[in-house]
This record gives sequence, structure tokens and C-alpha cells, in this order.
Amino acid sequence: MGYSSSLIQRKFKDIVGRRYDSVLKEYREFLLTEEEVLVPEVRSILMPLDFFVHDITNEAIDVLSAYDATISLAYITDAGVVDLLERALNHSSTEEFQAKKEEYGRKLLKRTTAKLEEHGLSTQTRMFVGHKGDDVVQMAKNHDMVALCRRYADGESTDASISPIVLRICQRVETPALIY
Amino acid sequence: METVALIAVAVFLFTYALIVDERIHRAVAAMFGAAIVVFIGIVPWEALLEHVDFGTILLLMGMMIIVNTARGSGLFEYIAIRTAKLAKGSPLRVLVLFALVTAVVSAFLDNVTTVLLLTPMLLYIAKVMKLNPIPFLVTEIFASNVGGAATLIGDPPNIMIGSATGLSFNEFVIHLGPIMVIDMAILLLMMYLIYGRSMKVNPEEREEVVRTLNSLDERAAIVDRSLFNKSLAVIGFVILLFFVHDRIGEILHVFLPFVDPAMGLEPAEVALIGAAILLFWSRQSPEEIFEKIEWPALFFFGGLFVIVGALVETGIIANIAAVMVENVGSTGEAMFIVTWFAAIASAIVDNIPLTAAMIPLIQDLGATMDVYPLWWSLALGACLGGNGTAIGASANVVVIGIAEREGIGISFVDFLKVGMLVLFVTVAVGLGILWLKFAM
Amino acid sequence: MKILVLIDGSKWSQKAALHAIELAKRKDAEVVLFSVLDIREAKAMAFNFCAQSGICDQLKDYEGRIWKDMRESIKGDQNSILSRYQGEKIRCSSKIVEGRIRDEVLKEANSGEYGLVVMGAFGRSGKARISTLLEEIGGTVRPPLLVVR
Repeated sequence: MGYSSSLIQRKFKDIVGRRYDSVLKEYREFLLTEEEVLVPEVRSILMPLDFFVHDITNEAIDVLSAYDATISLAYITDAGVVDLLERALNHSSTEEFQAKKEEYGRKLLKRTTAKLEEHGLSTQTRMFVGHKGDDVVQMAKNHDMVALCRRYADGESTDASISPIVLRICQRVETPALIY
Repeated sequence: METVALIAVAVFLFTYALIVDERIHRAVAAMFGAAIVVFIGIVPWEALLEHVDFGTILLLMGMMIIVNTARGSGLFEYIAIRTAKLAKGSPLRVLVLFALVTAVVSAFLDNVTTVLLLTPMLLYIAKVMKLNPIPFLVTEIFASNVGGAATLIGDPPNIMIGSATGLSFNEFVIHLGPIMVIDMAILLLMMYLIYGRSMKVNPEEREEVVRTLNSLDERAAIVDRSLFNKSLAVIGFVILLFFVHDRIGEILHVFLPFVDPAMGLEPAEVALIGAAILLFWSRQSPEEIFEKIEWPALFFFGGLFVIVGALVETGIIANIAAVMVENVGSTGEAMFIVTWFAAIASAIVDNIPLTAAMIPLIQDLGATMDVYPLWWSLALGACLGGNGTAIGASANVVVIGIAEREGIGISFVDFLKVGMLVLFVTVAVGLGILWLKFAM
Repeated sequence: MKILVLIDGSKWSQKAALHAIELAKRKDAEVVLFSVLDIREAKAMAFNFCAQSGICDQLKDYEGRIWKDMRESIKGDQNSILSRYQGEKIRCSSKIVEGRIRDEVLKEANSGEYGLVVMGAFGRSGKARISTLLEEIGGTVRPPLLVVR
């Protein structure tokens, strides 16, 4: 038994070599696997906020309420801007900027939390200085979905396009993304 | 016996032992054996060129180029998904359809590639249906060996016989095709009787299965639509050419008057012409395609031809033939012996080295008897004999190897029980038909 | 609520549809499967085919056949998804229109009927690049847009 089994193993290796691995890889590319047919449970949703996100639309909340999930709000101040201010102006104006931003952020978080909780969604919040794209992608690994305002990290551009950072995040995260 | 003859026999047996054991790659074993008989001068250069059957090697090479180019288009995956959908969630239909598709594809393209590409889909379906995959897998193995036996290009033994004897593609189809159709029907009936009861899916689950299978997208399998179409066109053209390869001159002469109407093409030429057209038309990178040619297999063949050549050069084969002639009374008797010997021997050793040794033997018999029916006996025995054991043919090893990697054990003994039954029934039926044709 | 699902025939749009089923179940929503066929795609495919193969005398013919294939294939896709919805007892309909993909999608999505648009993160060219459609409509589609992968 042991001999015949290892004999078949050896023969298989000698006849097929590594071809089977490449075949399997090709199949995986287009077969909807059993795991993929199951829509993954959404338990936590990451929602990054910043200076350019003013509000969450009611439609978006309506969609979010479909999931039985906790929403993690994260207010992010761009580390690049802080750094730039530090170099261009002085330390005290940077601190002033940061303080103002923090105050704005706290208000926004409070307002948003209130609105979400009004609709029965549970939330948690955090605030930090970081990179608006990379940090979101990193944090998204611990969440089941990201919800992005299409103006997030965009500056006050007036055209009706989507923020390039939002697109980049969409491209890089492994979870579904809700753009509102 | 002379010393050189003893050495030739020793090398032959030693190489066979290595091939069966496969601790050393069979291509290396064959090359090493060949190196010994060449080194000590048993097979001199002129004889080497004569014994190495380039018809076989070039035919294999041409078909490998075509198959590997076509593979890149997703053709096989497309076929697999279409077959899965056609089955509409019925286990029995999955079994029958996959067996038929495997048989037909194996009849024209190489068995290893066919089962290598169809098996993952079969495993997937069995998993979706929550059924034991073993009945489906063993049926696929048997079908690939039966289907391969039907044509000149279906299975290596047939390729070797065709190349050595010059028998045409159509002769193979005429003499072996009907046998394989009947054997296939018998095979499916046997599989149904053996496994039918275990293949039940309740209606609700069946609906779920159909839905899952319908969500597979066969068009997503087509990686390259244009290559897909070109591959289909070239494979179709090559198959067509095989059907007329021995009288291609007559056909060409009508359009191109300067072509000699007596001209015929060797199967190897047909395959290489097809390969050239596909490479030219598809603009695939030749480096990539040529890299995918299974060089180990080709060197395995080359080495075997030289080792068997040593047996011919030293007169061993002629001696065995003489003994056979003395003891065999009629063509019918010879057919019986060749068929069953080839069948049982190819169940134990791979059928390729067996055929390599049998071909010169039958050629020698040709001096004293009509060997035409014996070629069909050999093809029948060598191809269907592969069904007997888990190591009888390459396709068996590939399917069982894949199953093992996916955690499904098909033990040597379990396979042997079903395989031997299939071997005896299909070979007996085939031999019966040949007997009626040639020995009555 | 009404959910618009964009179907382009890729594996990713199938996943989008599966996700939409889950949402529709929870929100008791109605689902519309939506596909746009662009004749220029058939033209481009036919032209590329003839440019590669050098067989150009039947260009128009190829175009017609590809166009027919495109229609049939998208219909097949929608039907197989619809059968899934029927199994789940969700109100679902399908819609296939012809025109410029971006314009038609925006027209439909912004008609005011929909509370959500669902699409796959990638298109038919697979994971190689993010769906071009997402770039084109991301900024101007009014309902929330769910990008599934």
C-alpha cells in the first residue's frame, strides 16, 4: 500500500511536473469558488472622514443600516500638510492649525455619530494624523467594508469627479467599498 | 547467447525496472539505458538513426505545440464548463457527458493534457453535488484510454504503431473506431451498474447544484477569443487533414495541377504543418510555446527506441519471433496471444515501452505470416490494457495523482478491482470483433 | 428601496449581483439588473480580429455576429442571475439598453428611482485594472455606489 501510493506520487511528479499547479491557478482565475458564492458577513465598516466630508447622505445611511455592523469613524488629518506647515510657518501656527482641525474633527465626529445612532447604528470613533490613502487601506484589513465619501481627501474641487484617493483606495482594499 | 545480446537484454530489463519504479525520471532512465548500448557499440550511429522513430517523435511534438498553443486560449476550460452545464445537475449525466467528452477529446488530443484539464472541473462538480468523486474520476480514466485507442493520434501506442507501419489514420478509425464505440457503451453501462446507486441527489439540492454550475461563466474561461477561434479552426483543419493524409495528393492535384496525385503526408507532417499554421496565425511567442513541449516525454521515447533497437541489433527480437512462429498455428491464435499479452503487460509496465518492444517483434513475424490483424491486436491490447492498474497508463497516474493531492485516496487495490474488470470485458469484446473480422 | 445592479458579464458583476441579493433580502428591496451594449465594442472587436488575422473581407459580417453574440451572452448572464433571485423570492427585473455605457448607466442611475447602485470592482479584463466605469461614473452617479469584489 505504502509503496504503490508513493509510486503513483513519483510517477505523477515525473509525468506532470509543475503543470498541474499552473492549471489550478488558471481555473481559480475564473471559477466562482464556493467561498465566493457566499457573500461575506459585514460586521464592521470603516468610514474615514476628513475636512472635505461634510455630511453622510440619508441614502448611504439607509444602505449601511442593512448590515448589522459597527461603524468605525476615523477622522484623519493629512500628515503631509502638518509637515508642510511646520516647515513653511512656525511651530505655534502648526499647533494652532492642528488644534482647529481637531476641534472641527471632534464636531464632525460628534455630529456624524449622532446621525448614525439616530438610525440605530452602533459606532466607535478615533482621530489621528496620518496618510489619507495608505492608512485607510491598512485599516481596511481589519474591517469588512469601507464607506467613502466621494469628496474624501479631494480638496475643494468644483468639478463633479470622484476623488482620486477614493479611487486608489477602491483599487487597493480587499473589501467591498460603498461610495456615497 | 552472446555477451552483447546478454548486455542488451540486461539493459532492457534494468531500464524497465527503473521505468516501473520511477525513482529516477523515466526519460532519464531511458536515456541512460540508451547511452550504455550506444557507448559499447551495440547500436552504431547508422542503426540509431534507423531505430529512433522520428515519425512518432515529430508527431508528438507537433501535437504538443498545437495543444499547448490552444490551451492558452482557455479552450479546455471552456469545454469543461459547457459540459458541466449540459449535465443540468444530474450525476448520471455528469458521468456520461464527461466520459464522452473525455473520450472524444482524448481520441484527437493527448490523454494527459485532456485529463489534466478536465479533472479539476470534475472534482469541483462532485464537490458541489456533495457526491463521492471517485466514480466520476475512474470513469474519466477509462474513457480517456478507450477514446485514445480509437484513432492513430489518440494514444502513444497507436502513434508508434502508425508511424512504424505506415497504416493510415482512416484504417485506425475503421478497425478500432467501432470497437471503441461499443466498448464505450459497455463501459458506461458497467459504471452505471457499479456506481449508479451511490449517485443520487435530491431535487432541492439539485436545483442548488444547477444554480451553482450556471453561475460558472464559460466565456470567462476564454482568455483570448481570437486565439480560441484560431485554435479551434486549426485543430479542425488538422483532424480533417488526418482523415485524408494518405491521399492528400489527389485532392491537392485538383486545385494545384503540379502536385503529384500519388503524394501522401505522414501523420507527423500533418501535425507539424498544423503547428506551423497555428503559430504563424496566432502570433504566439514561440519561445513560450516551445518551452511547453514535453521534452522529457520525447527523450523518453527516443531512449526507448534505442534500447529496443539494441534488442533488434543483437537478434533477440528475431529469436523470440522465430519461437513464436514455431508455436503459433494460425493468425487467430497469434491475435489472441498478442492481444492478451499486450493487455496484461501494459497493465503492469507502462504501455509505451511495451509497444516499443512489440513493434519490431511483429515486424519480424511479418516474414512468415500476415501481420495486418496483429497491429490492431497490439493497439487494442496496449491501449485498453492501460485500464488495468493505477499505473497502466499516464492518464491513470495523472488523475489519481490529482485526486490524492485534493485529499481523495484511490488505492492501488481499489482501482485494480474495477480496472481489471474493465480491462477484461473491453479487451474481450474488442478481440471478439477483430476475430470476426480477420480470423473467421 | 430599489437597487440597480450593473451587469457586464464578468465574474465580478456576478459577485455584485450576489451581494445585492443579500441586501435586497434585508431591506426588502427590488432589484433591477442593468446592462448596456455598445455597438462600438463589437466594431472594435471585429476590427481587431481582422487586423490580426488579415481576413478583412467579411468585416461587417463579423461585426454582426459579435454584436449578436454580445446580446445573447449578456441575456444569458442576466437570466442565470435572475434564476438565482427567483430562488430567493426577491422582486427582480432586467433591462438591457444600447448606447454609450457611461451615459446610459448615468441616465438610469440618476433617474431618481434608485437608492443604491451595485457594481463589481473589476471589469471583464479581470483584476489587471480597476473598472473603467467606476472612474467614469464615480463622481456623477447620485445614489450611493457599492463596489463589490
